[in-house]
Amino acid sequence: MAQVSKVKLGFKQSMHMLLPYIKKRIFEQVSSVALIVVYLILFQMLILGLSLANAGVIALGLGLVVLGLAFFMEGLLIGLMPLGEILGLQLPQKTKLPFILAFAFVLGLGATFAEPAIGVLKLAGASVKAWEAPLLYYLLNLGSGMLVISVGVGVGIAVLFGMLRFMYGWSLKPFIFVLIPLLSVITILSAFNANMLSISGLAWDTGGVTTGPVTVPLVLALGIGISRMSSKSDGGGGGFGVVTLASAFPILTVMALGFFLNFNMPAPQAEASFFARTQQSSIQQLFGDEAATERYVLQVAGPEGIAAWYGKPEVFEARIQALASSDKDRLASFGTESAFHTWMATRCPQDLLSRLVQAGLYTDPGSANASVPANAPGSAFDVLFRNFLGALQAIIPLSGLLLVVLLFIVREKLPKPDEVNLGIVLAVIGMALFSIGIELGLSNIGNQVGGNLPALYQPIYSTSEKKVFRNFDQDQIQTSINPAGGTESFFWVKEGKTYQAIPFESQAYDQTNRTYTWIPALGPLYGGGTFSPGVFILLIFAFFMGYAATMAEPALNALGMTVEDITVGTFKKKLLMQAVAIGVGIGIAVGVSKILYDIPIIWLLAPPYALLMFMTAMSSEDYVNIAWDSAGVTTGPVTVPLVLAMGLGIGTQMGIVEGFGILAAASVFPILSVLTVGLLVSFRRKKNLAALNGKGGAA
Amino acid sequence: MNLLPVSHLTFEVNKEDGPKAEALLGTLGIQRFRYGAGRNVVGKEPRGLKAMLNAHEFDEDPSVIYNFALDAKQSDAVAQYLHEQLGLAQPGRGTLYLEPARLGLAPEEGLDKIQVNKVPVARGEAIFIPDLVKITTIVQRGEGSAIAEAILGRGLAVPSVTFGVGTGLRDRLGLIRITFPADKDVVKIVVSKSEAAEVFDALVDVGKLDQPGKGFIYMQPVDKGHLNTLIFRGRQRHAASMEQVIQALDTIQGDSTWRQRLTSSQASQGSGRRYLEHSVSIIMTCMDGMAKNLVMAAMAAGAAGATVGKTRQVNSGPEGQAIQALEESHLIVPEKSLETILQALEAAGLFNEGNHGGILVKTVPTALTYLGK
Repeated sequence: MAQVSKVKLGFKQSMHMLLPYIKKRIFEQVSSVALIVVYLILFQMLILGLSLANAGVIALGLGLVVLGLAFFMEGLLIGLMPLGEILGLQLPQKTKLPFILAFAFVLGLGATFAEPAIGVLKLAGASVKAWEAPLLYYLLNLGSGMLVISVGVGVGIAVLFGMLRFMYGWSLKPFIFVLIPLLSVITILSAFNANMLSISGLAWDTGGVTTGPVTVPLVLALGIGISRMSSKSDGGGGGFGVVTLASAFPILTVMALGFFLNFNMPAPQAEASFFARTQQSSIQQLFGDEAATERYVLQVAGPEGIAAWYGKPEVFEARIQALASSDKDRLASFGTESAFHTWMATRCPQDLLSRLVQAGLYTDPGSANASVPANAPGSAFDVLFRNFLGALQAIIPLSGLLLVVLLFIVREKLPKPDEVNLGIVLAVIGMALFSIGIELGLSNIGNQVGGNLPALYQPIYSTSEKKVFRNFDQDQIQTSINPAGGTESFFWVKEGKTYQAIPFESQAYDQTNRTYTWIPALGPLYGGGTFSPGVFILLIFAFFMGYAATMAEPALNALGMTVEDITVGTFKKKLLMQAVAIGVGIGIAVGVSKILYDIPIIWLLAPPYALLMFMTAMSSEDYVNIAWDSAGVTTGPVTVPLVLAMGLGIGTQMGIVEGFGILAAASVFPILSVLTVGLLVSFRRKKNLAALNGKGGAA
Repeated sequence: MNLLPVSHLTFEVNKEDGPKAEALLGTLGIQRFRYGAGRNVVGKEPRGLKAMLNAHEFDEDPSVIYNFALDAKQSDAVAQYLHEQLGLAQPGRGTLYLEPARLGLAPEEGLDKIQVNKVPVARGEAIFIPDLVKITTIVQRGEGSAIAEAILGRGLAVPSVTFGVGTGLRDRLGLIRITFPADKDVVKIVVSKSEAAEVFDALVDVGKLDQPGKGFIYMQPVDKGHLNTLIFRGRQRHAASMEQVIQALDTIQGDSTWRQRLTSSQASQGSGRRYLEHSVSIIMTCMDGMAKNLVMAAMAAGAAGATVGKTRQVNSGPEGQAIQALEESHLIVPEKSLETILQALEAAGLFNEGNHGGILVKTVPTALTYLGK
C-alpha cells in the first residue's frame, strides 16, 4: 500500500495551532468551574460575612482544578473513549458471548477497585459510633475491604447485564421495574432490624459514588461500540443504561453482604451494655483484637463505656497507670507515643490525670498540647505523590485491561495508537492535577463555607476566626452587671481603631503561657430555630451549590457530549447538564432537610421513586436510558467533597451521627428532572407530528 | 473496477416514523438498505422575549435517513409507493429523492440485491419534481446550524444535518493533529436546478467556505424528488399554508423552475471564485473501524481527504436479516483520477471478505473549497 506523505510542521506553526487549542480547552473549564467558585466565595463573604482563609492556597488549587479538568477531558476524548468504542465494536465480532460477559464482569469489578469511592463513604460515616450501629461501623472500618468487594461484584454484574442488553437490544425499563421495587422492599424490610436499617443509607449511597469519572466514559464508549454491532435495529438505548445498572446492583449486593454479616453482629445498644465484659468476644470482631478494642474504648467511648469495659474504676486506673509507666504497653495500645499523650491531655479524666502527675507516674511532655488536627494537609510532595498514585491507579489498570484485550485477544490494532496513548497520559496528568486542586482549593472553600453554614440559623463558634491574645493579664478583666442582676466578666480589646468588649471565660485562659484564646461566636444571622429564614437561606444555598457543582462534573460533561453526538445534536449537552444540575440542586436541598429535620431516608426517596416508576413507563426508551444514567454521573469528584463538607458541617453542629442519604437524594432528583424534560420535548414533537395529520395529511 | 449504473434512493422521515419506514422497506423486499440518524431544522414562531427582540427560533427534530441503491427501472415505482405510504404529500412528513449513481460491490455482497422483489403498484400517481440538485455543505461541528438557518431563511426546504469526521491534511500531521477539530456537520439540501447556482454561492458566503479551514461544498444532480417544504411552524393565517401553496404550484407546474428568484442583484458575489469542476463523489462503505486505512490508501492515490460518518446496513438474504455497523466515507475526487483511486481502494482491501465494502460514484459538476492562494 502506498504511503501518504507526512506533513511536517515547524515549531512556529505548531505553536500557532497549539496555543488557540489550549486556550479554548482551558477557557471551557474556567467557565464550568467559575460558577461554583464565585458562588461559594460570594456566599462566604457576603451572606456569612467572613473572610476567606488560605486564599493563596485556594487560588492555586482552583487553577489546578481548571488545568486538570482540561487535561482530563481531552484525555477522555482522544484516548479512553475511542479505546472503549473500538473494543466495543470488535468484541462481538471477534469473541464469543461467554468471553464478553466475563470481560464485562471483570471490567466492572476492576472499575470499582480502581476508583474506590470508599473514602468518601468513610468520611460520611466518620462519626458513626460502634455501639450505635455496629454493622455500619464494621463495614466502614475493618470490613471495608468486604464492602469494596461487594460493591465491585455489584458493578460487575451491572456491566455484564448492560452488555447483554446492548447485544440483544433489551429495554432498560424491565430492569428498572424489577430492580427499584425490589430494592425498595429490601429497604423497607431492613427497617425491622436496627443493624440493617443503619446500612441502608450507606447502600443507597454506594450506588451513586461508585461510578466515577473514568468508569462512566469508558463504559459508555464500550456500550456504544457494542450496541452498534447489536443484531437488533433499535432498543438497548444505544449505549446508555449501564451506569443506571451500576448504581442499582451494588445496593443489592451491599444489602446482601450486610444481611450475612448481621448474623454474628451485636445489635445496636447503649454504650454501657455494648462494652460490658460479657459481650467482649462478640464485639471484638468489630475492631480486630483486644488491644484494638481497648484503643477504641479509650479513644471514642464515653465514661459509661469505659466503666463497662473495665468493670471497676480501680481496674481502669491501674490500666492507665500501667500504660503510663510501660513503653511497650503504650505502643501496643496507642500505636504512637504522641497518641497516648494526646489522650492523656484530652480524654483522661481530670482527677485521674492530676493524681498520676502528683504521684510522679506521668509527666506531660508538653508537645501533646499542640494537638495536631486529624486531617492536616501533608507536605507538598506527599500531596503530589498521593494524587498521582491515585490517578495512575484509577486509569492505568482499566485502560490497560482494555488494551490487553484489544491487542492480544481480539488481535486488532489501534487505528490511532499515538492519540490513544497521549490521551491516557493526558487523562492521568489531568486527574492528578484535578484531585490535587480539589484537595487544596475546592474542598478548602467547601469546608470553610460548610463549617460556617449553621450560623445562618444558630450560633456557632467559628474556629477559623480564632484570636489568641498574648501577655494576657488577669488585671485587665472587668465586671459588668447583666439584666438578671448577676455579674459577668469581660475585657477590652483594641481592634483597628475601635475598642471591643470580649466576655472572659476562665477555661479559655492559659495561665502558664499567659494567653487568652477567643473564638468568636457567629450567628444566628437570619433568625434562629428550625423553621426560620436562616434555614430557608441554607436550603437555597444547598440548591445552588448542587447546581453549580454539577455543572463542573467531568463525567456529566462526557455523558452530555455522548448524548449530543448520538442524537445528532437534537438533545443538546447544555440542556442535559442544566436539567441534571437543577435536579441535583433540588436533591441536595432535600438531603439537607433530611439532616436538619432528621427525616428517615425512606420518606425522602419513596415518593420520588414512585413518581419515577410512573414517568419511566410513560417515557421513550432513549430518554429513560439517558435520564437514569444521569443519576449515576452526578455524584462525582466535584460535588461529593462539597456535599460532604456541607453535610458534615451541619451534622456536626446539629449532633447528627451520619451524613448518608444526601448523595442518594442527589441521585434521584436528576432522573426526575431529565425525564420531565424528555416528556416535554417528546410531547411537543408528537404534537407537531399530530398537527400534520390534523391538516388532513395522506398518512 | 466494473461499476453498474443504478438509481440511489434516499428518504428522510421524522424519527417517530422510523419503525413505519423500516416496515415498508421490509414489505417492498428491499434486500439491502442503510440508515442513520440526522436532524431537521425547522423555523418556528418565536415566543416571549425572543418575539420581542424579533429573533428567529428553530426546532431541531431528530430524523432517520434511509438510502439504498436499486435498479433504475424499478426506482419510479418504489419511490411512488414510499411517497404514498409515508404520506409525503403532506409538507412536514419528509424528503425523498433519486440520484443517478454507479455501484461497485464486494462480490459476496451480491449485486442482484439491487432488485426489488415485490415491485409495488402505487394507487395514485405522486408527482415528483424533476431536475433537482443536491447541495452538500461540510463545515466544522456546530457551524451547521448557521448553514441550515440560512437555507430556511431563503425559504428553500427543510435542511438535513448529519455528523461526520474529517480526514485529510489532519491525518498527515503528527500528533499536533489533535489540535485540529475533526468533527464536522454535514448539511444537505435539495433545490431546483435553476436556483442551485445562486443557493450554492449564498451558502459559500454564509459559511465563508472560500476561506482556509472553513469547509467544503459541492453539488450533485438529482433525477427527481419530493422536498419537505414545511420550513416554518406557527399559526396558519390563511386557508392554506404557504408551504401547501408552494407544494400545489410545484405539482401543477410539474417542476420548481417557477420558483427561480428574480432578484439577480442580491445574488452571488461569486464572480471570480475558483470552482472545482469535473469531479466525482465516491461514497465508500466499509466495516466500522476500517475507513481510516482505506481513506489513507485513497489519499495516497490522489484523493484530498474524506468525511466519514456512521451508518448501519440491514442486509437480508436467505439466511435471514443481518445488521452491520458501517462507516460511510465521502470523497470528492477529480474525475480523471477516479479509476486510480478505485484501484487503490480495492488493493487496500475494500472488497475483502467481511468488510461489506461498497462504492457509489456520482458526478459532481461543481464544488468549492479553499484552494490556496
